[in-house]
Amino acid sequence: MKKSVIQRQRPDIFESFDHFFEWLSAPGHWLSGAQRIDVAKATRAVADCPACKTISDALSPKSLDHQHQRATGLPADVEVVIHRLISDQTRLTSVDISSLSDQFGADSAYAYVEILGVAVCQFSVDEFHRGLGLALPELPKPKEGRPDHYLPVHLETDTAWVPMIPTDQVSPAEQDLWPGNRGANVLRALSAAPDTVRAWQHLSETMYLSLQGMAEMIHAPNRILSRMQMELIAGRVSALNQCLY
Amino acid sequence: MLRVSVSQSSLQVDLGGLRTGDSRALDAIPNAHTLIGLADAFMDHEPEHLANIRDEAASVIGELGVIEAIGVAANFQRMVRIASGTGIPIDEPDPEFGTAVRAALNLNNTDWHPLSD
Repeated sequence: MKKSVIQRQRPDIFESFDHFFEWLSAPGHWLSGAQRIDVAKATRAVADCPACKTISDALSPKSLDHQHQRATGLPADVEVVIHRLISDQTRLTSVDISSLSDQFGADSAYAYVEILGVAVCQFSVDEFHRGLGLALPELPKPKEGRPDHYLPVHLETDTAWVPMIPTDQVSPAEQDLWPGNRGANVLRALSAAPDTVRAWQHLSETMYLSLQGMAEMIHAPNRILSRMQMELIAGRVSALNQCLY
Repeated sequence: MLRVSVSQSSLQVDLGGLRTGDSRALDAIPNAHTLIGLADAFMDHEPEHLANIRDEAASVIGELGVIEAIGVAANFQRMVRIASGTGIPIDEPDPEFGTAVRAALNLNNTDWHPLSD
């Protein structure tokens, strides 16, 4: 299928990618625009990283001393975490991500959330292109500016490896992240960096469903596939990724 | 979510098919064989094979169906990594329902590996 054919049938998907690239290129909560583009570049480099394949096949990711393929000027520990997130995510642990404290100090948990959000959003955009046999889109040029170091008022630290907004303590600024008090853990997972939640939700609206659309369990509006067919794909991809969530 | 969606229909579906890739278990869902084949080819990372499967799928579910299916697959490449990369626990608003889904997917079997069957 040609890109023009796909764009004609689902222009909204490509509009959401453009929106993502605008977001990606700007300074975030903890990373500059240039650092975020580097996270995206490092994410892309995983596909050609010989060490990722060898390490993901090994009994333990710690049993080999292979060096991941460097693609950017990001600290090596940051690139290693990105490679693990993309190629060996089921064996990632909270200890692995603690290595980022050398780079980001006391803010490392928040910076990690943003790195994770940028990497997985970029990965999903690239996976869409790969899945349809399209060339990967060019990454944007970074915008000037400094990270805003924004933090939600309330964060809990006892649910996951990362801080998250508690379901019952959502500040007015974050009321848009999930409907009412129905904040499933996967919705709250990146909420320490709220704009990353908004970024993935914007992509999900076109690639899968909006939060409102998810409530329709039989046939989602504006989709050819039924909800069961969509969940069949989602379930199989999740199973092959060994995702127990 | 598949269990919830199926429960709102009169269809009989064995969710274990998600784990094994045996589309016969999921046959009650229209074009399950095509969709499972497309998801598997997407995850195989063999471009030529994926291109062939994509063409076959387009003849069954149409080009728009393939675009949607790849969109969902790519979307969940992101979502599974958000879950695995943050260590979030499974939500348990209804423990009985969760227990039933885990049993159907054989997730309590610690020997399980999705590619071993």
